[in-house]
Amino acid sequence: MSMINHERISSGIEGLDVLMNGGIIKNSINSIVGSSGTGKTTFALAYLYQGLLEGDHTLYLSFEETPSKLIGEAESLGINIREMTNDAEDLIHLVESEKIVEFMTNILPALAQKLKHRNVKHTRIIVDPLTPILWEFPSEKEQRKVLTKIYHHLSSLGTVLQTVEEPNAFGQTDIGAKETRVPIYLSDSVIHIQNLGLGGKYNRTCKVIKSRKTPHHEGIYPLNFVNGPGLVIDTSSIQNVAFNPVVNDIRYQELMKRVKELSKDKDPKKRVIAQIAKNLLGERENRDSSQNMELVKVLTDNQILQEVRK
Amino acid sequence: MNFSQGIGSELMDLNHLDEVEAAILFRIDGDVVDSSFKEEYSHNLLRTIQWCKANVDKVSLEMKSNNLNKVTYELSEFCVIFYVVNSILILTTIASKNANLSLLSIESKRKALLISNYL
Amino acid sequence: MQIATRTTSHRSINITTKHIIKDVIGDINGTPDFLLIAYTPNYREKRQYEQAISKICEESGTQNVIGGTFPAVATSNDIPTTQGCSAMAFKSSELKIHSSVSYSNIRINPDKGVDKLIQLFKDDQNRFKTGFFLTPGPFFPPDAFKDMKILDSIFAHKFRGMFNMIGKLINRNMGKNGYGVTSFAYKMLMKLLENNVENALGGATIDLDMLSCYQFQGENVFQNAMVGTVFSSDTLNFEHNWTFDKSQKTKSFELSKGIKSSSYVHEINEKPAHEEFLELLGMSKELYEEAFKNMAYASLLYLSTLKSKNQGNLPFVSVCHPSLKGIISTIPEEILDESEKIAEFFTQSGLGVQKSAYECANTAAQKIDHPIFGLFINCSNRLLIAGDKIEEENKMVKEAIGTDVPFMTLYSGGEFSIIKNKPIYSSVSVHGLVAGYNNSPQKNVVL
Repeated sequence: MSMINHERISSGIEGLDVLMNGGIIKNSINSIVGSSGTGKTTFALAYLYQGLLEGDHTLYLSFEETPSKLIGEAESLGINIREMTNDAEDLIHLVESEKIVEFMTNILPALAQKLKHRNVKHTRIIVDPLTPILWEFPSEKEQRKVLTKIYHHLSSLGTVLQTVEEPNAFGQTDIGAKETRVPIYLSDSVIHIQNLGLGGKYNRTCKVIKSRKTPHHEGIYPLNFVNGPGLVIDTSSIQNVAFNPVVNDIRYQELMKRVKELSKDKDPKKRVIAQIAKNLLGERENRDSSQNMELVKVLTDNQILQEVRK
Repeated sequence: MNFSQGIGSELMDLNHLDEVEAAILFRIDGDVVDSSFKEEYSHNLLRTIQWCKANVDKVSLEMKSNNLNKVTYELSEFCVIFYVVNSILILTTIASKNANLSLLSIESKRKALLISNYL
Repeated sequence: MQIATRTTSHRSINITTKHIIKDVIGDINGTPDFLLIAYTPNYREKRQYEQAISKICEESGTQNVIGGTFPAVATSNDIPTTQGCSAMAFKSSELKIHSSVSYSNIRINPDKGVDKLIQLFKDDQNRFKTGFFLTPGPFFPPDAFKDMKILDSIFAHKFRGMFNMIGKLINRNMGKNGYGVTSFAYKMLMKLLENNVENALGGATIDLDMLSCYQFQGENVFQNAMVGTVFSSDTLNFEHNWTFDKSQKTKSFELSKGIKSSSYVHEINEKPAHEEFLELLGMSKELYEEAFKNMAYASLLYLSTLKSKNQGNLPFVSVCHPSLKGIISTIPEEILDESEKIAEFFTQSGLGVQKSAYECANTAAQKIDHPIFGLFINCSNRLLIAGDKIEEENKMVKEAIGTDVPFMTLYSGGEFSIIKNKPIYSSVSVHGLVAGYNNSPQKNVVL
């Protein structure tokens, strides 16, 4: 995997930047995929708000909700867009369904041209949701053609965040469904959010399922609605691994070194001890790992090895 | 909210035991009625919970057809005890793999009986 | 006579205690004469138990309280629990329950400790009497591993994970340090006998995680104490009994060598003990170790008993220990000295465990025309074998002594009895006491 340092922007969603190795890559196409009620629009609003905080130019294309409703929704979660600008409602453009084709094929390219001429350096573009556009083009071939074109225009303008509705039939969601296949295929990164309904930390989850050009954290992370930041992804389990005192502990490294030496010893008893010690250290991810380390310390102690020899 | 009694409290009691990672009251079709988890988040646990959710219908059918009250699974990372609460609810206790299943089944059974009394 | 009993369960000790105060102490009209309180060990901290016991003493108005921590507790009117408290309160003019006594260093000086109990017997003039006491069980404070031989240390650690630390119970060095075993209780029984105590029931407090183990007396919470009292009456009889699952006897074997110096058996049937042990079980070493790894109570399913001249088959725990080329057992040396060193295997089963609990209660209850209450000390290893079937076991005991007769069962780390002048020190067994009235005066004669 190439490790080129891409320029990144903050997503505005606490924890997502950690999962995506530092943030969203500039001028990329990013999809938030999830079924109804999972928090896709909140994601989009938090992304918009972050743009306002950073002084970015923003373009929010809503294909369903009116600007006032969206702003109201954001406010209910503590994302106060009105605080950032006097003309909050102008930030969001409602594209009515009958104008979708015209908008995507004519208006959007023209808008892109206009912005370019105005020398806007970076725009945060939000397409929420992309799904009505897909409905206009039922065949996957057509979808691909239209989206490739749109993405070409948009990515030259800035960084795109689009929401995609994941079909939900009788409580079963399907990320690989026809409705989501093409945008997932064409996106640079895909974030899958789910409402598992399990309760507690396992109720809503978030997983980065695709991330071109950059490594990302695998795994499913808890997603919480929090008043203030709007959405928070709990990445404490990643931080725990990174800062796990046992795994990174110098003592652990030293013990491992000692055990390795022991395993090469001529004395078979010592080799047995080394094996036991290795097994114990292998269980370091368990909760009682520190206890195992204590035992290995005793096991590989020179005095004790002397006793074994006797 | 009364934390000292009710289904939620019974699940919290169960979850409070050292070895228990999650206590979930499932409807036999896989819907979660109530749940209680340890503070720490774990991917592996989520995988196991999802496995339980996906299989609770089959397990409950099997339990019903064989007239079983309890089914225990020893998975690679966790142990799972399914305990029948009534004809539509199953209490699921997920514990660490080294858990003492004998002791745990005592408390699972107790909680299943107490929960059935609330309904 | 007023007797109230109840088991409550909650993750918080405060709420559990609150329910006990309301339902048990609240059920007694006036101040109870005596309270038996048993908590499960999951509340961990000594301070928690101190506060709870102190609250119980304050609310009940009595200091005549004994109790301790046990992995599971049960009473006649509730489902047994592994996370809560069982309590029994007494108030009676016919039943005398002496002011409880305690001795805080019972492991080191069992003789001196038991003197306190003997004194209660001596002070009592009633016709019928019996002792009831609780002792510390196997538990290991943080420094317990200090000064251990390295192989023992490995063994203890290994067992910590795969045997829920019960394995440590039988560790020789632990025994020497005075923590691991309860053999001091055998000395207590002998001293009681020497002083003409005819009947007594005792049990060891235990935490299967071996982290904490408490005994209560008055408002005190101890870690290494004997706590006890004497029940006496002119009208109430006390019937004792004990048993274990004897239904499936398998093979006999001879403990040939190594038993006097320690609790290690080096030879069985004059062959290396660890090999012969597995041979007798008909199990490969791999399978045995695998069983240990996954089933905490694997070895208990194959219960060894020592054939004692006076006491019949006495169950003891034995575990194969390949790294020391032997078998570790929990037999006190005094019992070994007086036995023929012939042992037998009894296969334990969930159903057998239930039936034996019923048998223990039923045999004692049969000798009483009107049972009033029962107390049972049931091994926590049997609890592991029975699992959630202990609820049925509880129901069976209830059936045995009478559905309206209150009783309390403590799942212990050692069971001790003196039954009509015979000492019984055993493992994996159930010991019981049933008290009640007899119609026929002949039955009231103490032999």
